[in-house]
Amino acid sequence: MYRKSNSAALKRLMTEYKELTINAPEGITAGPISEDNFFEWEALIAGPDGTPYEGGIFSATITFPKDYPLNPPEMRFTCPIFHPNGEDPNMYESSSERWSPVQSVEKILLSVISMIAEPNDESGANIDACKLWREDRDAFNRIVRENVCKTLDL
Amino acid sequence: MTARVPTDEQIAQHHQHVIAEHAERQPLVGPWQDLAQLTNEYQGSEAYRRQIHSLQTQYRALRRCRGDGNCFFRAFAFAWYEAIFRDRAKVDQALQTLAQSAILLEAAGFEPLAYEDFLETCTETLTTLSQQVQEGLGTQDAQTLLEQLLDSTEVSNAMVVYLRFITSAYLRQHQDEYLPFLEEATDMATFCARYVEAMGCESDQIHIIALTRALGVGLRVAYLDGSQTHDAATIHPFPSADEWATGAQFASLHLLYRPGHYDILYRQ
Repeated sequence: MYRKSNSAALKRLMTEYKELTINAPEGITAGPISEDNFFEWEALIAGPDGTPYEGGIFSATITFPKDYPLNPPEMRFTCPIFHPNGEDPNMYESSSERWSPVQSVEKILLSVISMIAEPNDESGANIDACKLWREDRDAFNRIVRENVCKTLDL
Repeated sequence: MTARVPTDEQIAQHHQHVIAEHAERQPLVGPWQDLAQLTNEYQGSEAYRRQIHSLQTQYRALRRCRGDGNCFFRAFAFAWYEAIFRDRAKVDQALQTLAQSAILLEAAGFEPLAYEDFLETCTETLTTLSQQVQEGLGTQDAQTLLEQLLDSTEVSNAMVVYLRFITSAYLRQHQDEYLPFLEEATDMATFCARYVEAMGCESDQIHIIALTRALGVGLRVAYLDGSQTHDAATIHPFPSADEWATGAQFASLHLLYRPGHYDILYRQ
């Protein structure tokens, strides 16, 4: 059984899940891995059109704290992604931005998508990717494309 | 062997961890205490003791709030509900204020998903308290129920978040007026996201002014700063002395401020 201290988070997560099921923004699928545990989600993010990530599907897990949304969830890519901001999507949010309970899973995923499309080279986590992205965009795009094919098992 | 020197970030993290650990041992909103107890904390400081002594001419007790960065909003939430929950007319007025606050939030661009659960908890808590009183719950039991509800993590945090949202929405809607006072950020949206909506962010005068104006609830804050030049604690009315002078029907809440922290005060 969920303890009372979880029930507000649980209620909120169920509402968000329902919203995302009915009204998912393009390119995003997300929900609990098992309906027994609403605090562990899996998300699938489609690589944004018009970028070298187009056609790729990127999987991630999202782990919610018991007092969500007072504190932020943690997100991890569960597939390799070649990106200037690295494989830790928590870094995709501009580091100066603090978590606020106004956020939601949908907003997090949308900001991850926009960060995939437009890397923030001020907070580069993958130095190689950063360098290549800045200095040799063709080579960068080629690696990303190869990577996309790998995640699709092609 | 070289000793590993911790990075600034690690030191800051450790510092935060120590504060959080200490804070978790305190109740969110503590029991009623005689003001004289505060004097014991300042054995070595005559200046503080003089100010506390002067405070005792007007105030008799305090209720301590957890020092976790949310103390202003927590103290406000408790003091507000405590001031009105026995009076049916004041409860109805507060419920109406809460209902209208949703319109303010929507106008400021908040999504219902983000605030409706918190609003519901605020409304349900006040309704429950009021109903119990109407059904004849004794004074002492009613007080106990208030303390139980508002010291519970779920209710107290929901109220803190919702009051933060109201403050943020009010500032966003009146940004022309308040923008000149921002030191930390150049635009209101950034300021609100970082310093108003986020849990654990401490409150300044701008937060207090916005919240008291948005809710139409007046507040007096007694400043205890150990100043050598002021023997008496200064008492500041919020939102402003002018607004108090117009005789607006404020529920009058009283808080105690010591540098970095707010608690609840009780009048003689």
